[in-house]
Amino acid sequence: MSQIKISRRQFLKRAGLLFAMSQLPACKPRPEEIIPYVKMPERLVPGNPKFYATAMTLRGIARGVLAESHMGRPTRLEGNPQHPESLGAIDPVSQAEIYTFYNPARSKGGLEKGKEIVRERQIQIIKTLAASLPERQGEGFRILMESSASPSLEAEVRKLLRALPRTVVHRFDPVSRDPVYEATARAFGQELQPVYDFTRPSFILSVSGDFLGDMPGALRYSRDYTEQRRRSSYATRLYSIECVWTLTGAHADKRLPVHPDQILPALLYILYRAGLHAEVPVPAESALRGFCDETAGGLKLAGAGGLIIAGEMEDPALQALCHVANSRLGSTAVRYISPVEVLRGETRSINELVEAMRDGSVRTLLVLDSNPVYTAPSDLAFEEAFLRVPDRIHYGLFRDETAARSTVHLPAAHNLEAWGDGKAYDGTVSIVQPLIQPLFDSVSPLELFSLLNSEAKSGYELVRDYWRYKAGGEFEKWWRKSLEDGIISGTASQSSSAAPVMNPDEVVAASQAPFNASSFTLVLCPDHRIWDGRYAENPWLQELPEPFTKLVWDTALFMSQKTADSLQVQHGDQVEIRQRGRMTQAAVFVLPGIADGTGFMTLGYGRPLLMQSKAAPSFNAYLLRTSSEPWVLRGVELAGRGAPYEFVSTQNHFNMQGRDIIHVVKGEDKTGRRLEQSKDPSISLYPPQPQEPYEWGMVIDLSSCIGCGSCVMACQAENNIVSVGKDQVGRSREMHWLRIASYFKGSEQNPQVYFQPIPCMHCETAPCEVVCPVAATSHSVEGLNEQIYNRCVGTRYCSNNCPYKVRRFNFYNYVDGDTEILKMFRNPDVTVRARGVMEKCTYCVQRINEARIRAQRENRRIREEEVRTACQQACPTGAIVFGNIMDRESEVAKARKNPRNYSLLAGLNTRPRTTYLAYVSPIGEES
Amino acid sequence: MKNDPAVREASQRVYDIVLRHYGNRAWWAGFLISSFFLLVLLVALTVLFWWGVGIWGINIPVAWGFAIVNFVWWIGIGHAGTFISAVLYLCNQNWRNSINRLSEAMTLFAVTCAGMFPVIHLGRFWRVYWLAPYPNTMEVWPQFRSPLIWDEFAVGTYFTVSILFWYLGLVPDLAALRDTAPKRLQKIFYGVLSFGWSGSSLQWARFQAAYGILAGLATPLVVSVHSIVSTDFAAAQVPGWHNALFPPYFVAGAIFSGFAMVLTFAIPLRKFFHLEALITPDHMDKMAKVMLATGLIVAYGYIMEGFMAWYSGSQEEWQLLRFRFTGPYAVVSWLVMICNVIIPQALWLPRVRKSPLLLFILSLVINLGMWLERFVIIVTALSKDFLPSSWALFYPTFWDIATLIGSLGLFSWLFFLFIRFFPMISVHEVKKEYAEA
Repeated sequence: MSQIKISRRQFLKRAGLLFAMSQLPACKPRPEEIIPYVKMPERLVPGNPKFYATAMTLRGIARGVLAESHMGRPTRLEGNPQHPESLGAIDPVSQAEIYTFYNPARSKGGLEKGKEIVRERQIQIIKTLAASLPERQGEGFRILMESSASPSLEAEVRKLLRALPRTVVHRFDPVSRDPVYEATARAFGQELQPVYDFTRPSFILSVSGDFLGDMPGALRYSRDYTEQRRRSSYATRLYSIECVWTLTGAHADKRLPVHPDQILPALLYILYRAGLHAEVPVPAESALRGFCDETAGGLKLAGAGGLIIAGEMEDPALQALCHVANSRLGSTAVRYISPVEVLRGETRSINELVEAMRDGSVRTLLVLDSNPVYTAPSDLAFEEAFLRVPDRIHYGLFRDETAARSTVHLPAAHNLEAWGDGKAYDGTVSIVQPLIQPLFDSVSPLELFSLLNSEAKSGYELVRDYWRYKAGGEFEKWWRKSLEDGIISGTASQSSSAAPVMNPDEVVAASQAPFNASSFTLVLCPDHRIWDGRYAENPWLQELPEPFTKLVWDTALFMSQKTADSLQVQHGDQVEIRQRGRMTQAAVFVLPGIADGTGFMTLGYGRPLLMQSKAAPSFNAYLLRTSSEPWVLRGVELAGRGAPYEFVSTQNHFNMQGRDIIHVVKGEDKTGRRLEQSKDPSISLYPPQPQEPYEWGMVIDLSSCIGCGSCVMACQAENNIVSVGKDQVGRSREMHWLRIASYFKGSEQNPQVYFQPIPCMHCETAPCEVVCPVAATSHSVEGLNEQIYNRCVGTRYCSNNCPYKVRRFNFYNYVDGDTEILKMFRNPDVTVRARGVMEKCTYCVQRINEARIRAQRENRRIREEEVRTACQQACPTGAIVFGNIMDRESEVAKARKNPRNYSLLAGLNTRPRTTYLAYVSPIGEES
Repeated sequence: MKNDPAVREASQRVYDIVLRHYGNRAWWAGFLISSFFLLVLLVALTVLFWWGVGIWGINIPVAWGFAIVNFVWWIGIGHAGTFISAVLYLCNQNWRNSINRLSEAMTLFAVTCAGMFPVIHLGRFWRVYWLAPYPNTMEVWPQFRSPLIWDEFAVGTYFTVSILFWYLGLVPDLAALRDTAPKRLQKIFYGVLSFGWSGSSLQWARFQAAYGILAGLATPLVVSVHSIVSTDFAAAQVPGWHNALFPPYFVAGAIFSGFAMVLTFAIPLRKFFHLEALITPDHMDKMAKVMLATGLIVAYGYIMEGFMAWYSGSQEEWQLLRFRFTGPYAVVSWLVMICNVIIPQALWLPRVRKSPLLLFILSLVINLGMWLERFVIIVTALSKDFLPSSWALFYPTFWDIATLIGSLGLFSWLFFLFIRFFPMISVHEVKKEYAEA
């Protein structure tokens, strides 16, 4: 062995050099583009957020939001009180858009044949394409896009089509609203969109019509429905007939799960009994008959106050029937407007695109913000046809399956960084204004079309130009007001006066096929959280518990126990699902309340995700889906029982075990069961807490909670709560401060579901406080149970002694402190918690303190509307009331005097500040 | 019996183990095995400190798992030492002299192992000093209402008194070692440690007085420490914890398991170092009787726990009881019954009480049973409390088990060091006993 000859000096020199070199990587500039203030803008005070109205789009339809911006960075989204759908509320998906915007998995730049390209090259590619198109009038150029309700985009696309008459635009939505328009076309002879008014009906029949869940307008519908219910002292009735669980069904006074093939006969029978059309056969099952008779009676009695609402994915004939029936009832609760989606007439289907791709007539395909390789119906063999296209350009937020198979990928701009516009469910237009310069090298869809039109205008110019023409008059003033309000006033669509042209007896005649429930039927649904899979990269949504099973990061093959028995499978069995030569895998999840002979799966899972660290493999329902049978798959077979599958849920027990948890009363004036309510609330070993001018409290109305999860998401966004990933949730370590407990009660076949949001109870005599050895959790004079993170040593004793188990512990260093971009949207008013400390709901103490500072500066008391917790603010139904209980006029003080008010686990004498209003079930049983 | 050569020989052997490394091979074997498990502990702790308590199976709702189970179990084991050395001393039970040194050492090491767990189980263990009442710029005291603070004082006092008591008893033997040590280094070592003990009558009188006082101080600790540890649970309102029975039940259980642990160590030591003359079947018989008695108290505790679950009319308590014996942890609960109630009934038979082999097996069974009992109390109660929506089960991870095994390693490692450097039997007391006899 040769000796290394090196002197001491040489050694030190080299060691020094090595050390210096090891520090070099730290000198690299940050990869993201951030914009520092060179001059402080006027009126921008560090620490004081600004709010801008903009809109998020879901299924192409805009929902108005206010974006909170700290020092020029959007940090959180909340509802826009002026927007007709939001009215200040917001859904979970829109809230999670903030994560999508900053998602580290987002595409940060273009790709050309797999190689990274700079922005200039991206523009050049589009310009070259644009220059080559006019020669052949756009022959061979096709665009595949999703439905959109953006008027300015419509104008740009029209302009393109005018210039290039041979270019074809195809439209494909995995969750399409086409059946809605087919139905109205059948019923009224023209494509119309129903808009409901839930302040009117006194009797509602929902036929899988999830107006509290995924229907466009659901936020508004939920608010109107629950408010009307409260106003009418719970005299309105909601009956629901459906094959799977919807939030609407869960909230219904009476729900009946039936096989999808039984829904139409049942509806026909109901309508016949209500005297709305000719006689049809009587359903054989007595439960179904009883339900139908009762419903028919209710509809008849309600007359113009009746409403039948069908699900948007239902058979168009069924939907058309509902429209005709509403018209015959003279229902005042529904009106019809022209479709809010644009370009419906100018676009063709994906089937035609695939055909064209296959016969080689497509030279260039631009896939706009969608992922057809994953979502296209499996019978089309989209991928194979797609690969025949020589130039495949994908424009999208993520480098997904379609991006991977494209020759060029262009990163898309998010709504928070691009100008645009969009119509709400009722046609009201919102201008989408960006809050920040694009984070990455992206262009907006409008700019993309402008480039294709060889104009290269900015998104700002395009939107303004479009609306300048529309607005007329004093444009700048109009523009400013529209941006400030977040809506363009007076743009709501006019109601159509079209009268039904369909004779329901046609449907009656066509539906005489006998019902055959012998084979297993699989129903596919969009997912409550990741929708059609487009939000699969969003850990906030992936970890938002599914309302009924509390599953996270996953879907399953849900079915009832009886169905499972008849198919000889058990909960957790991994099976192969086969139908007509198509096959996918799934694990069986036994869930009560699903029609026998039916199972369901949600779309969007089973994709290889870019964010791999937190996710795990799941099941892909798209593999079974065909263009002719997108939702209901009949004659499905299960085969091959594999190894048991571990489901990961945030809740494992859905039975109340006979405990006094949810109080149910028949009427608003009734008191709940108070068996365990302490007789003398003054019994305590400790002196009473002093009463200050402000004593905070919260009341949650179980009767208004629809279990949508908006509050959970709002809490997560407001309080910097981390998503911990499937593995950690599987170890019961989810971090949500607010959970919605779900309980099933009653028969396995058709149980009642109760949702109970559980934040910290802020007990007056908090059991957590006395057991903490370092006083890291203590009581404020205003009644808050406070957690002092930097004092916490992590004994976890507080959590053990909390009977509500609302405390969450940082078992690991969950917070990602390394990814710079994730730091950008944390709420600067809320501490980021590190490893080893306990955390929990604070009643959004940062908001209370902000209001206090403001009030003190103005030398006045805090006004009631000034302090609203994040959960309260997001709730579409106003189920959460928060405020000062010392102020007798406050809503929360009034709610606490409501006879329905009760404390959870009152027998423990914890005296919670968070109380519940008993669930009102006018036709159910009290408990 | 006064000049029983066997006793004299055995006493000499106790010194020889220390001074002339008698039985060196057995010792090395034991020491190396313990060292390996100590290494396991060190690895487990390194991983723990690096990643956090998430490496264990704990969760919300079961926020306490193996660490606290181990803590309670080790504390319990320590109790036998104090019981033997202090309570039996005050009761003039001279048979204790053969085993008190061993059991006192066991107390110290068990409390050391026990004391480690509440520290390492903290989410931020580096802030453990915040539990101590010390003047600080934050002007914050610990929260004296918390049973964990009571624990800290109870265990701290216990450790202090135990170490004093143990050391005081050692002094005459250390002096004897000094006097007979063949090597100079040993003479210096034991000379320093024996504080100039000369064995004068005056010193003996002082010694007896001090020893008596310490025994008097230690006696209430036998009752208080585990009572206070039990308030960690009894003072909380978790169903299955909130129970006034816990203090006496825990104390009885502690002595039960402690005696079992003494036997677990004494029986092999007696065999390998040929100390049969000092630790006689008679000693084992008496210890077995104590185990039988305390075992019956523990069994009574189980019955009362079940009775109160029913009698209280509390739905949560009753459902928890059924969950314990029919749920996913049923195997553990039934094992507790078998190990702690059914098998110990064999101790009624004198033949079993005098058979070292059977007693050794039985002591292992009881140790296991008592560990499982703590597991049942802590884990099952937490996994099924008030609101079904928050229920979840605890599954131990590899690191949970490694830490438990590692703590056994630490215990036996300390123990082997002890028998190498200190006389494992209180020779002066044994001699006195025989002299008086």
